[in-house]
Amino acid sequence: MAIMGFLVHALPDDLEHVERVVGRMDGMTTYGIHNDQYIVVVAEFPSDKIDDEVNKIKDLEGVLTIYATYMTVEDEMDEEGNLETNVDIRKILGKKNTIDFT
Amino acid sequence: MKLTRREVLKSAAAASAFMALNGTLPDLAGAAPGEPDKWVKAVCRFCGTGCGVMIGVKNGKVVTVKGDPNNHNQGFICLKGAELPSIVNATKSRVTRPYIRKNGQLEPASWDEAMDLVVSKFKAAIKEHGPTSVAYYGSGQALTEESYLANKIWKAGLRCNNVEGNPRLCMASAVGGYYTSFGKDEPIGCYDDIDAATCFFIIGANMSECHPILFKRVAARKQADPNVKIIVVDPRKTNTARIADIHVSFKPGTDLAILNAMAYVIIDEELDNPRFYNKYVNFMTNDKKKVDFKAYQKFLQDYTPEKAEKISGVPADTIRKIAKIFAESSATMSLWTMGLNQRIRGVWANNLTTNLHLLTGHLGKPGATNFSLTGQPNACGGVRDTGSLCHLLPAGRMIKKAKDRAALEKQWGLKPGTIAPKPGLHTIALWNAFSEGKIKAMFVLCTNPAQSLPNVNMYTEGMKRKDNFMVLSEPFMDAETVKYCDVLLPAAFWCEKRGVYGCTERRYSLLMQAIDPIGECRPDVDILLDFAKRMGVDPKVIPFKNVDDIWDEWREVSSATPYNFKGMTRARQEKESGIRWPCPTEDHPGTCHRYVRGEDPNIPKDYKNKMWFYGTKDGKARLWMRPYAPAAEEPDAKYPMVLTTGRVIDHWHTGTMTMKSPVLRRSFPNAYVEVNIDDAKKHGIKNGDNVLLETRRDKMIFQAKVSDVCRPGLVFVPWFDKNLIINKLTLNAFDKGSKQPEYKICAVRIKKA
Ligand code: SF4
Repeated sequence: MAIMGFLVHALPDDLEHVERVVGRMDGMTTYGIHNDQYIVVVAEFPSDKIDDEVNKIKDLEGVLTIYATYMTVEDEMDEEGNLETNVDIRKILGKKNTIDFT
Repeated sequence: MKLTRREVLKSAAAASAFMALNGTLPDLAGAAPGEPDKWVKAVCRFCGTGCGVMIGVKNGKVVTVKGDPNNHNQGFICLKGAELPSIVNATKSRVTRPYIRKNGQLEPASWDEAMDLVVSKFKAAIKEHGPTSVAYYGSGQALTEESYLANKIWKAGLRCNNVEGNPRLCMASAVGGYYTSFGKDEPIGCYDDIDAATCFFIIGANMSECHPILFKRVAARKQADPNVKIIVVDPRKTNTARIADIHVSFKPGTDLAILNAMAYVIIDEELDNPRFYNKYVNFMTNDKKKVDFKAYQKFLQDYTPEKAEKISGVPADTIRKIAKIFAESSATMSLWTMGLNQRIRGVWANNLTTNLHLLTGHLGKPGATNFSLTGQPNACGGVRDTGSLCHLLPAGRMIKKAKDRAALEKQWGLKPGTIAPKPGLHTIALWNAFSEGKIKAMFVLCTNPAQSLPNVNMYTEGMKRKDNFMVLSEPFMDAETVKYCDVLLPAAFWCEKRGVYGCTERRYSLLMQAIDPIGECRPDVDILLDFAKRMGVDPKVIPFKNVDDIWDEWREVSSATPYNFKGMTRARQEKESGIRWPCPTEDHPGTCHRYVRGEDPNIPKDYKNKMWFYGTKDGKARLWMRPYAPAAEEPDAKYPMVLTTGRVIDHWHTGTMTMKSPVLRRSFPNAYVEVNIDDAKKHGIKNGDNVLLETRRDKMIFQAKVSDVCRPGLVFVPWFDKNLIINKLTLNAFDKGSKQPEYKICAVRIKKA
């Protein structure tokens, strides 16, 4: 699981509603409304899903934007420190371990 | 209560958001920082905003990135910055050893084999064709020390001024603009001005996508004071335009007429500031003659709002309105970037924006400044300031000025006359010469010209020639230029090395090394030093044991110039999160506003005036009478629309890095074409349809995004996608002054595919 800390910037009239909706979404934890414009949120999803889930918040009525402050992928690394999503260089290089000249 | 590891990480994530909000840690159980083995201070690898980040390292791997609360971004980062762990850990896409191309294939080689081949090619070229037959093509993403070193090796060691880099493609017109208006490059103000401005004049910049954290600061300013006005001048209705009080859409390329018409209105409405311009400004004709204010007024008669309306399509009343808001505000801040710079009249567009400040006196006070935004993280600090372009020398000196060459030769301990007096070839001329086989050997470092050059087919054809040679130092195996290089060197990436990035606001921040380079990768400083030694460069030119030695020399060199940042010692950089130059002594806090008595350490405290534009001979800024001139390739009957290109929020430059993050990749998997609703109807195009785009250079199919973002007659394509390289269609016409190409405008025709 990747974990992201971020602020949701919403219009003042929509803040409470947005906080309620986000708080009910799976994988999202809210930490209250602050400075009359931001909701502090932490998201926990596999790193290839996290953006889709965060984007759902972006699409909510009254949400202006989202600012990240923290991202960790610690939980998603294997023992060698590779992420599952790491692209294998052999796919790029081909079997001969060389690159075609175009 | 004992928390699980997950709960600790979650608390830390929430705590970082609270830190960004209030600068204090909330009372969250387990939120204390320090969850990874260590935190290392650095700067984001992407845009010119230059956000400070803290890198969390565990078991030798980067596991976490969070915003540095002590840097200007106050703990915030955008999604790209947050995705840096995925990108650093995309190790399977990395170049991890040297390669040599043999029979068209890149084959693994040892460092010695690769470097011996590189050096033999450069030596042979110099021996047969002289030092001007070789070149260095660097990057606004290279560390300052890398650019400074390469510049010195080429200009002092090889006596070759063919030193260029991709900032020519993004910032050269801003350099030309500042230089012609003030006699010195780089902005006068800084990010703090955002918090004090009462009017933002954003022209040719889509800050919400390209500089998101600065955009946040602008939005926060507006939120704090609803009387703050935001004017956005852009032919696209971007997200930046959506928060504006006034969005001015105009016929692409006609903003020069709008800017002159604004000046006309400001004078006509008597909103100008004679006290300021009589003291601090010279009025200059386009052919460099000093004239009086009356002559300027006469020049502006061609730009009444009505005349400008005919050229630009912007209603005269709108021009009047924005000119009045600009002038009447207590502190106006202009912000611009590629929309003004990537034009054949880029320098003029920069000058005309600055004119509005010189006319109204919106300069040198908190919130009042003309501020050019940078595209890359180290275009300012790395390339502009170190003078790593073909016509420059470090710290604002010029190659063509004998006095500047002599001063630098003395500082570098060189024999007088070592630096060649003729500037080298600028980027387009350089790649033209490479494509014609006239430049025989090219060292490309930390950039991807096979995707980023305009009209790129011309240059990739040239890269295929057998009688020229290109060595590429690059971290990622799938960068487009890898397909064409003759030798590929494995470069250490971002936090695998140490050095300085200097962002848009003259702020130099140290990136500390967080992890070891993978495989056989080496920092570019080591690669360049190795190259210079093997080339037989005089050891006195490269007396450096490590990257810190280079920084110390550069600090010393700067101290004899108004850039003076001698006070930024390494020890201080390690402690602080970025310092703005000038900063002459270790106890100097850095400078917010240049040219202002009491702030700029270059101005004596008892200087007679509040401001002194010491970059010019008589200490005055220059207001230029630049006429409107059309784009290089205006639409016509055959190609009736305008194509423009740019970035999207979740990708950066050629996508080599951001496409490694699954999150960012999924957000924008492919390039697309943005088409206006009316144009789409006219051509029978629906959202998602394939659309053929054709210019005089090439044609390509993109999926349509139909919306009201582009104005009718304009289409937009982002340039991050290596599978759909839009630069095959763009134009390589360039500004005569800055030599920056006109990426932003070319003629195109479209049809449903
Ligand atoms: S705004 Fe720019 S520098 Fe800041 S985190 Fe985003 S990409 Fe990085």
